Amino acid sequence: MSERTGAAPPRSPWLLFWRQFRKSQLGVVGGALLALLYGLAALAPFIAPYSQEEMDRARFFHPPQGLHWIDGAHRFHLVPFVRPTTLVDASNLAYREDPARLLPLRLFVRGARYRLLGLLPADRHLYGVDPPGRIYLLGADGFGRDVVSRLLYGAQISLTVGLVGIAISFTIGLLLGGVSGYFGGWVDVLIMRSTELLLTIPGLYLIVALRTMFPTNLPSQQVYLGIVAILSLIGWAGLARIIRGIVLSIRSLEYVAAAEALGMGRLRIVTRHILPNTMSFVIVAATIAVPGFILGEVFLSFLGVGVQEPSASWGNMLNQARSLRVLTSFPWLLFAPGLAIFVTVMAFNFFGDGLRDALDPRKVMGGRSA
Amino acid sequence: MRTYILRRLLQAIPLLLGVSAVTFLVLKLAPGDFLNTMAENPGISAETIDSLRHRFGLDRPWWVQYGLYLRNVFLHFDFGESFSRHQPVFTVLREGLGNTLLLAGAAALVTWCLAIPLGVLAAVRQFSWVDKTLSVLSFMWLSIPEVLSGLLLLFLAARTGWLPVGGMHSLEWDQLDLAGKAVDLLRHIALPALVVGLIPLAGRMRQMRANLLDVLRLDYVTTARAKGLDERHVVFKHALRNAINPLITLFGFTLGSLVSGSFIAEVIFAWPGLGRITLDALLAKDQYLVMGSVLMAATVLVAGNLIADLLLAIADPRIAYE
Amino acid sequence: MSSRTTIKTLLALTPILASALLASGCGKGGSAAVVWRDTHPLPPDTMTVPLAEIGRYGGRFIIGQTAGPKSFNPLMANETSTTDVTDGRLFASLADYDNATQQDTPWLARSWEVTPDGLTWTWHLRRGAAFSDGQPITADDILFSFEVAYDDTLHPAVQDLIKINGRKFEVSKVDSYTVVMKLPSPYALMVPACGSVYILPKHVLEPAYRSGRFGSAYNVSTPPESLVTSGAWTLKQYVPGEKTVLSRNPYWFRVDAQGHRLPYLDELVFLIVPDQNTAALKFQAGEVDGLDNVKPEDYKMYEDNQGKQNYTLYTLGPALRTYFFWFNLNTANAKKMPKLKPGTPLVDPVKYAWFKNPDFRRACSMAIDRDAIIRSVLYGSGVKNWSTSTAGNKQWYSSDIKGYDYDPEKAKALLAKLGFKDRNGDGILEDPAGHTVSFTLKTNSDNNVRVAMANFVRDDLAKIGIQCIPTGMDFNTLITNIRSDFQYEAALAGLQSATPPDPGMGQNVYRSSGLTHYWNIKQLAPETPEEVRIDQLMSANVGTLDMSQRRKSWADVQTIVNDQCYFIWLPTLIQKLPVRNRFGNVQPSTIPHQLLWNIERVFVKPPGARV
Repeated sequence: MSERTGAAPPRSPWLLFWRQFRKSQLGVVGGALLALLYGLAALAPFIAPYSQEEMDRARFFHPPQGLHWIDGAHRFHLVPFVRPTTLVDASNLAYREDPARLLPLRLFVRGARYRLLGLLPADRHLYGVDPPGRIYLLGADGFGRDVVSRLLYGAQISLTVGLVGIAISFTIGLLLGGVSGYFGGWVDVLIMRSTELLLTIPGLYLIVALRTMFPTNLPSQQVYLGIVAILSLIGWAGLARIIRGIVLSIRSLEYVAAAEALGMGRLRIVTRHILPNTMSFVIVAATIAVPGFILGEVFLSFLGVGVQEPSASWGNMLNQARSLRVLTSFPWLLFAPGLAIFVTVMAFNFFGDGLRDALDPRKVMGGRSA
Repeated sequence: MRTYILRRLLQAIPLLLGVSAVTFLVLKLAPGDFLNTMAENPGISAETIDSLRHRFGLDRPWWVQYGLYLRNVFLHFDFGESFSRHQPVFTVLREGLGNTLLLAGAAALVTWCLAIPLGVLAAVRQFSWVDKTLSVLSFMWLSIPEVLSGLLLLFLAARTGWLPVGGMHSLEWDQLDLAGKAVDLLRHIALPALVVGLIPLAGRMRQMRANLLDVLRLDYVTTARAKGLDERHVVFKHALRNAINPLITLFGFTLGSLVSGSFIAEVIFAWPGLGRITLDALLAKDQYLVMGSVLMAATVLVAGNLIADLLLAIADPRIAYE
Repeated sequence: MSSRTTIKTLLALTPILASALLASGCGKGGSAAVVWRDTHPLPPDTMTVPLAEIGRYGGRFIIGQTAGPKSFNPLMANETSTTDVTDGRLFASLADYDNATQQDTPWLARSWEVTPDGLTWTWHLRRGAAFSDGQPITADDILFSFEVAYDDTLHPAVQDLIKINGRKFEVSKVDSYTVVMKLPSPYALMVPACGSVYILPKHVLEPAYRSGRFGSAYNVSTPPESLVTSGAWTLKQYVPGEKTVLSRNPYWFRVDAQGHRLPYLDELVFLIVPDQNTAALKFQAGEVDGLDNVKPEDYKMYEDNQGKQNYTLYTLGPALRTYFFWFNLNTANAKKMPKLKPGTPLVDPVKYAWFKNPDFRRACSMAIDRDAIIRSVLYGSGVKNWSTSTAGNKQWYSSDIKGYDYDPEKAKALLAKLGFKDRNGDGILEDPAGHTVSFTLKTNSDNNVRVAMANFVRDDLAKIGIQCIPTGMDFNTLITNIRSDFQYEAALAGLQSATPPDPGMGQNVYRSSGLTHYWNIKQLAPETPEEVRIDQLMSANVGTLDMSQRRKSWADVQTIVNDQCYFIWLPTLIQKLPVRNRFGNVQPSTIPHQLLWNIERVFVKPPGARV
């Protein structure tokens, strides 16, 4: 019987989306990477062997320690180990490994106390070595702080900047854009003029100017939230304009007229009927917007007004490492945060691209393209 | 058309006024004023600073300062004086604006000269490995923070000696003939334009690709193919012209955003543009210089938008303004 | 032409274009150098400058600046990017300072004397000294320059140096080449103070001054031909944002031992390079001949490449720039927060109680591991420092001045004696009333060295149980906090010595009424016995010309300050600067301007003689 109608059996939209999304290999890779990164960030205190401020005064600028399986006597060890080092040249900060001794890698070691996900107190860390040994898989910075630990704690800040940022700016942008497009009249004019104003002021200058407005006694976490708030205040304007355009075109559709005829409240119409139809665009736009927030934080750190020491963020780790000396003598300090930012932004872009292809209704409905 | 242009220009005035008001407010809300820059000199007494504050008019309430500023702008076309340079704001900015526009223009050229052909290539070879590679490569440049890419490129320039290490002119600029000057400028602008221009490349290229794909699905393209025209003819003579239209609007926006977006490159490459002047003025709270600079950048943006809309009207006969 | 052909043509042209770009970089064309010949007669009163080597004419020196000059008017200048160009280069004054011998030397004045009571100074001007346009420099110009310096409306910053207790000097002329100044009381700094008033051409600038337009006179838009200067150099070219080019003043009166008129160089170029990394790369690429601002982390790179790039990294010794932190001890008075009851502490009273106790401050000073800071923040190139007269200040440094150095056990004992105990086991002490001992330490986030030091302070204080929270912020807001609204608990900053590095030049730091008396600025009257004593000592210091007495009073000031730990001192950098080897008579010094102080003696060595 189905051959006669020639129609395929109905599929749930989620399944359709997933099927289409899977076709984009880059999108899937991007998504998997993001899941990994956010997972690492969430579990940062567990995975990181040390806290982000812990200074090791005997190991300034320590190079990354490699994991070895074969020791000096050419014996194979099942458990990998690192070699302890000594400072051989204080003025050049050069270290030498001791080939005779070894520090085996231990898992689930006891270390500094922390609260997992902010709730559960714990003191086990994923890996470490027996004290007084230290393990610096990605080396240490100028204060003797472990780069792996700072990278993970920094991930918490840099990765959430984007999420919190789009949450704020997209909420504002969606609401105001939707209201503006649907209600029209002076509300529309007011909102659109405000967006024009915001979009015309050069964004970077506005960021710096707003940052200097901050009360100065705030601890670093609140400064971070402030930074996100600033970045969001810049971001909502562009989105609002686009949403307004989409809403204008949806507004004249039949089901909206039906809802109005039924006497449904106007704000409810906007939020329950119109805005959900902008979702496919919004989701893609959000994914593409997050890297902007991450790079915005890097820019603020470049100017010296980002997240402050001793807290770690990828932006301030990169800015501290931005020197020729580091590039030539301690390159791990530059490339660790640089690579982290690079991978994250790439992942977001691939993921967003894949999402866009998957959510494109023409593709999903089987248009005339491949 | 003329009334449209006039209307847009008139609309720009309250917009710029609003920009100046917001900027001034934000400047004033932050604590401190310009005289703090004299701070680290232990030889300056409190009386000196107070009298200077009075001389610069910084001890008056903010609305008085703003009112006087507006009056000077509208009546005398005087944008105020820079506290730190003792020069009219207009003079200070005029020098930097040209250089920034030059860099922004060169960067825009880099973006578009690559985005259009690569976007076309990606579209006609959709889903092939060429398409995917272009996608990955363009995303890669977008993902490297500008501060890092600038540093690495400069390092490369210094090590290899192929290109100058920052700056806009070599010291022998005045002695060069016209051809020599052109080459010198090109050599200096190459790296910063590259750093700035390759960043929006990913977005533009994807857009070109998407637009071309949309157009290629349209009926008249099918007709052209049915008529027996070869694919190259179809793409370049028919589809491309229409696919480019939406991007023309974007060109105007791009120019405006590049003016402020080239800022990091200006600092790293020692490019004498507006960005550096404005940032120093912002941090030093040299308020009239900041106001002038923001207004200038805003004007460039508004002008860019207007040009973009006009270009679109010229290119697309379906659009008519009255 | 179809689009496709256009694209193909462009692609084909690209390699040609690229090779043209690269090729033009190689082979810098040399132009035939014309050796300058002195066409004007030497003035009657030349000044022979002692030189290590007799030089030869020609060549140029390129130095990097992080920012360009904002004006060419020495009296209105406020930032080093301007004064590096104007003070001593474009303009001269009555007396110069020789960084090598660390003595005042004659300049536009060929000699001077003072009456035994110290109240009347007579300056004898050099006959034949001329501005860059050939007009003679006479007493009229001196009087004019001082008149402008004393102007109450313009209020140039230098005015504070040429006043004693707010009273101006009486400046008058006896004849065209003799100027007399009468002081209200003796003044040890008379020579350097008058040396800070750079002499301007009355015949050019008087009209602007009389009509109230002096503030914008000699701004950067001034055409070079109109910029008449009194110094060894004159302005040749200014390109905004890029460079400032100076060339020699053909009427300059200084000569070498063979009677050749100085300067030797044809041009002095200030190249604007905002980013320090770019400046370092430019230096390595040979585009810049000297840098006066090098980060300690780059020292190794400069040292390693000395032979390859044919330059020398000079070790100048401890810099004259200090680092320290202090606690906010400001209280309200008529000048500070007048709305509050006088004497109210402007910081949380709970914390004020801790900060006010000298033992608390001493404990904090003893907690700091300064060696670790030297190893990390200063990359090993640093020394412990206990004064604004650092070890680089040969005239005023005394190794007898000490401070409370690293001794964490003693620090803990001191705090325990004050009643601070950790009662709840969180690792942080509480004061006798039970408040957690915690405070914020502010510093400016754009200064990496200060931020790094603040981090070490945090870690060190945590080890003795005090919670210190470093807070980085922009410089402008920090200054507002320190000087206007006092919204801070502790702050970390530093001071740079003036030229000459005479402690009398920094009265605002040590006098209780001073603006940079950071821990308690603008006091109406000294509020503690120690402050009274310091004020007396500072007056004694500048009120006598007897060096041994001045050294004694200065030593006493430092002893009191260090005993009270008003400033908790942090290490100072050992300064190193690179200069190309092809220049002769290069003598970098710790005193500003490190490279340019003797630039008129510098010359380009002949090719065979270069190391």
